[in-house]
Amino acid sequence: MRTKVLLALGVFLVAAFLVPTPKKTPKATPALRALLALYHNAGTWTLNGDQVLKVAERIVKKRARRAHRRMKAPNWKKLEKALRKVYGKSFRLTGDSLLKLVGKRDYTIGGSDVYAALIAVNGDGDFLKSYGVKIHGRYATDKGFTLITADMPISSAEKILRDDRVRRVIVTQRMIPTLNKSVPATGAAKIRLRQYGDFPKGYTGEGVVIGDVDTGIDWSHEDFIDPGTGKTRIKYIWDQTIDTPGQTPADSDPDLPSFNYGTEWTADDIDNGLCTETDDDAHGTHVMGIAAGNGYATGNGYHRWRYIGMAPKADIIMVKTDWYISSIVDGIKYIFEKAKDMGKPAVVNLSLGYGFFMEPGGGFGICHYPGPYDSNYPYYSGLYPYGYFFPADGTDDWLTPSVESVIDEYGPGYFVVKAAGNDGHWNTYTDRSGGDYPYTVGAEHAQGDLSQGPFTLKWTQYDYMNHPYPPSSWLWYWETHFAFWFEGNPSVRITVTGPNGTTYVGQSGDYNWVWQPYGPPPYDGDVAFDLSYGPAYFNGDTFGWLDVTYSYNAWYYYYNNYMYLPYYYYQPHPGEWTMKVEAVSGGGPFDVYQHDYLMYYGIPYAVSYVTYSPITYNYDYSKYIIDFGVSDKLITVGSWNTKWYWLASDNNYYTYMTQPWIGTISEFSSPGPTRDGRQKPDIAAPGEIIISSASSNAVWSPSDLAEDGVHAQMSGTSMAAPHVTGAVALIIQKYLKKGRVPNLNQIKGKIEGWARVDLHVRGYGGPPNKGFGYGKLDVVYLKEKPVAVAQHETELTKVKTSVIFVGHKALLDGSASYDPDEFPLTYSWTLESKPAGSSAVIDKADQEVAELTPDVPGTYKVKLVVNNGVWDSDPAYLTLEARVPINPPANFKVERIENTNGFQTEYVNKLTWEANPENSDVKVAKYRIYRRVKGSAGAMELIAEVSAGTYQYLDRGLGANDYYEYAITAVDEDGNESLPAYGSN
Amino acid sequence: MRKLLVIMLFLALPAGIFAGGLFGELSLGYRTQGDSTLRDVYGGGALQPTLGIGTHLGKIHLVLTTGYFTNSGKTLGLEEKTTLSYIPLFVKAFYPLAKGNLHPYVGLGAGFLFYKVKNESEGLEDVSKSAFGFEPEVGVCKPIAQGRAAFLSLSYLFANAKPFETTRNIGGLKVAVGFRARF
Repeated sequence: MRTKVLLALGVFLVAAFLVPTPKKTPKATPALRALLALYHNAGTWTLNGDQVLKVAERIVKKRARRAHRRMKAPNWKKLEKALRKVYGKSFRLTGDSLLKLVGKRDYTIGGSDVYAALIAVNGDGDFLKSYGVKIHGRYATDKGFTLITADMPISSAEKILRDDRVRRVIVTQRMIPTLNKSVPATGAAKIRLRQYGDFPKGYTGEGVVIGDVDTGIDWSHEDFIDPGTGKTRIKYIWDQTIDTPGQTPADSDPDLPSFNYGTEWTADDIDNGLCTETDDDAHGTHVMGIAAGNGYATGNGYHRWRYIGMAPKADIIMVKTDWYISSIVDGIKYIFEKAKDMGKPAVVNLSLGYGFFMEPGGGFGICHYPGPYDSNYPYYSGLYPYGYFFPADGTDDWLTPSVESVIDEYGPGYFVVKAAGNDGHWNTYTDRSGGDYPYTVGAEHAQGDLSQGPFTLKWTQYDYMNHPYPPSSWLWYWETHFAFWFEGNPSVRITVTGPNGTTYVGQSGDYNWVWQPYGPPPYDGDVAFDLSYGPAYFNGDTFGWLDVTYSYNAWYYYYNNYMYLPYYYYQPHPGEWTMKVEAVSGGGPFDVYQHDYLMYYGIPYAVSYVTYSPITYNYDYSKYIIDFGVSDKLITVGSWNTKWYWLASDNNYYTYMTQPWIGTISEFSSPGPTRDGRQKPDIAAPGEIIISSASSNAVWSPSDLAEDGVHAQMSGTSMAAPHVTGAVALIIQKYLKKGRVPNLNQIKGKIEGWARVDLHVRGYGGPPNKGFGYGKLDVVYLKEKPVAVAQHETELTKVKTSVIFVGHKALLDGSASYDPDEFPLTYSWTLESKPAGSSAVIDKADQEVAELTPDVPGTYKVKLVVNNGVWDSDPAYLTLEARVPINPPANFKVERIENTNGFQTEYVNKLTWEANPENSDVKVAKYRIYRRVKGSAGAMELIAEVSAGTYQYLDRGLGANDYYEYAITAVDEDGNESLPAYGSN
Repeated sequence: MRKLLVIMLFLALPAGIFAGGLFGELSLGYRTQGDSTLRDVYGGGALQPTLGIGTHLGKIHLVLTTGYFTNSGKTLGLEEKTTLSYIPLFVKAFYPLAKGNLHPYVGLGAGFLFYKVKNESEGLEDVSKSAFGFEPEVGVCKPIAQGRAAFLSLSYLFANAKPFETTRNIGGLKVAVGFRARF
């Protein structure tokens, strides 16, 4: 029975979108009321399995009859075909899959129907258990309430909503991977951030955990295997999509007692071949490959280490999510908790989001909304895209605080990086000639200030009927939606004028469907206003919306101002529409978001990055980041373009069709700032045609696989975010090396402060700006400046000295230079100054030890700069005093003698020399004799000084194996020492 | 073991005194350096005076002898002065083969040499040690009066000394003439 009820609810969700809003009593059908009514009357429904499809037809027909409209029965095959374009070729339309698409979690509590939910409550929320709610996570907020992630029986929804301790219930909508394979990419150079350096010694993410909440991971991929041990680098996988009692996180970790769903796999499970988790989508594997793949995997004869991730030695934790926001929040906490147990910091990658507006597969929402609705309708169902309900300023009371709560709970050392989203359209938005439909652009934004007078915007309503894409046969009806956020609580009036002059007026307090009565053509359509909201308690701003839609009397089909019937397509009249927004009283800044909204066969289908009816006047391309990516506690990442082609596994080169400039912002990267004007995104990273680990669980086309067959190309801010995630791991590692753990401000400070700013970045203003944030991620800044040390030593004793001799080579020693991160150095010696008349130059100026042979006496100033592959050091200077040398003794010889008395033998080196006749103008006072072990390069040791007039020295008492090389110098009465004469035996 | 043998011989000597009376002998010989390296350092040899006191045990003559040998030379290499000297303390036994005008005899001595090597070289160490040696001897004895005789002997001393790493025979051939008298 429960299953039948469950299926009935799913059908409702299909049907609810088919139900036209009643013209005169719009308040009569809030969806939750209908949902609950359906539930209470579920006994009359006899649905199971695929029968849901037939029942859906019945609902459609029933509603159609009730609405006096002719509706054609859904064509399920066409619908399935359409959905496959979204969910992949393997998608099969069944009753279960349809229910799953609309947000049903496919398991039950005690046979009851259960939805994943986020519930905002006062207190700890324990009372929810009495309603049959199964609590997973509790996330305290700084706003005085607690967010509960839970499984909620829909049978208890009404009771829960009527409980005064409950502030809001969100039956969570599924997020989506922020992947965009189809966005045009540009560029020429193969630049990946990680290619700036191979981090041979310095930064590999070692000691840091990188987590990802995603589609799963192909744990067998060699990019995640430590080649040294042959064991996996994946420490844990939590598969939220499959429940295995006894193997949930709660079963292994007493700190996660409520995470009693899904299946947990450990590294041992993976190494022992027990893990059955797969990544059929390949998104998660690809993302993790960028963040932490080590490039060990290869094939087709290519060498290894060609596609190395940002942090190739980081530990890995993957949460294969079921995409409900509640599960995603749990996933973040899971990764942090496991990392904490491992004694390591962690950074979690979230290459996911809601998109600018809802996409197929969304759930529904229930707002326990204080205000006018409270008196009559304690709950409100979100029949409309969720984007409408995001305040986009981080103040919402359910989405952002839950993520922030986890971040706050774990504090320094634990970070979340999120993709900005793929709703941008950076290059096509400038073409508004109106002739090139459809615009493949994202939903759009405008902003105004009512204190400055009325605000007018115009848009060109797309003639959907006259264009082949998307196939009109999919379409069921068509609308253009506008959502408003007004600062404060102004009283406003909105006037909409159609292409044929029809005027529609709504004002604050209205919840009206303003329709064009049936009459002679032409028809412009209807406009529905909902300006009835009061200010939201969480930010004091006021929300409102309006829909420009088909005529309610639309069994007529208007095309080219003629009316046809019967038919089942509906659209507002094509052409230029105008909207005027003006203040009746009060009024200040406001934002309005617009997108086209279509529905086919009962499935709402608002393609997030496609709109067909662009704003053409007073358009503002900004504020596209609307979900929890607006939080200051996350690092939000946009994408820029680094590459324009790839070599695929079929040995062909591929590219996308249209190319903006390489180095610029990716076409799809969602622009900021937040609606309240805070900077987002924080940073931009490469996100187009990124080659990374390819899941072997997925089905690939040869053109998407890279040449080695084990890596593949993908594009999207999904690919940009893990670059930053890996970079954060590297920065953490740098802090760990210094015995410290960074906090969020420090990490952001590095990421933003190191951001590379080039002409592409500056082209959008700032930085920061709405596209790149603070610029392009530049992890090479991890490298600190190297330190140059320039020295000169005496040739014999290696004692530091500034004295050199004319005509004799002096060695300039840079070997004491160093790089804090142990990267190899290159050297550059230059002669800064020299005495007049000198033509001396530095030989081997690019070597660690350079040579200078002074040619005239005087002061020589030498500069050394070393480079670690990125940075030049500060210069080191060496000032040398060149003198005319005393000549060393002449005919210096060393003779080895065995001196024995028959019983004992001593070895003696007999040193002989002669006075140098060229020292005739110098009075030699003594001779100094040095030695060092023969063959060594070390300093020579002074072993004797003998007076002038002595020309022999016996170095006695040597062993049979003691061999030395000797040097002798002459010293004048002023202490000036000659260069050495060398000898050895 | 060799030292034990010498000690036993010395213990036997008092028994000989009571058995056959005492005699003394004095000789002067020339001792060569038998080892070729020592010969290179110290030259061919040096005079060695010897003094002894003996007795009879039947036809066996036992003599306790000592003497002094010193030989200087120059080191090989730096030609610095070096001196080898030793004092032997031997017990010798000899046996006359026939009576008549000339009495040939054969003998064998054994005992210790207390030797020194002294160097002027600062690179070589002085040393003072002992070494065991033995010395076979042949000779003829000519009685010249009652209880008195002269003798001519030829002997070769074997004494391996190892003051450091190298072992060398510090002995050599000796030709000596001497006088022996009964008390």
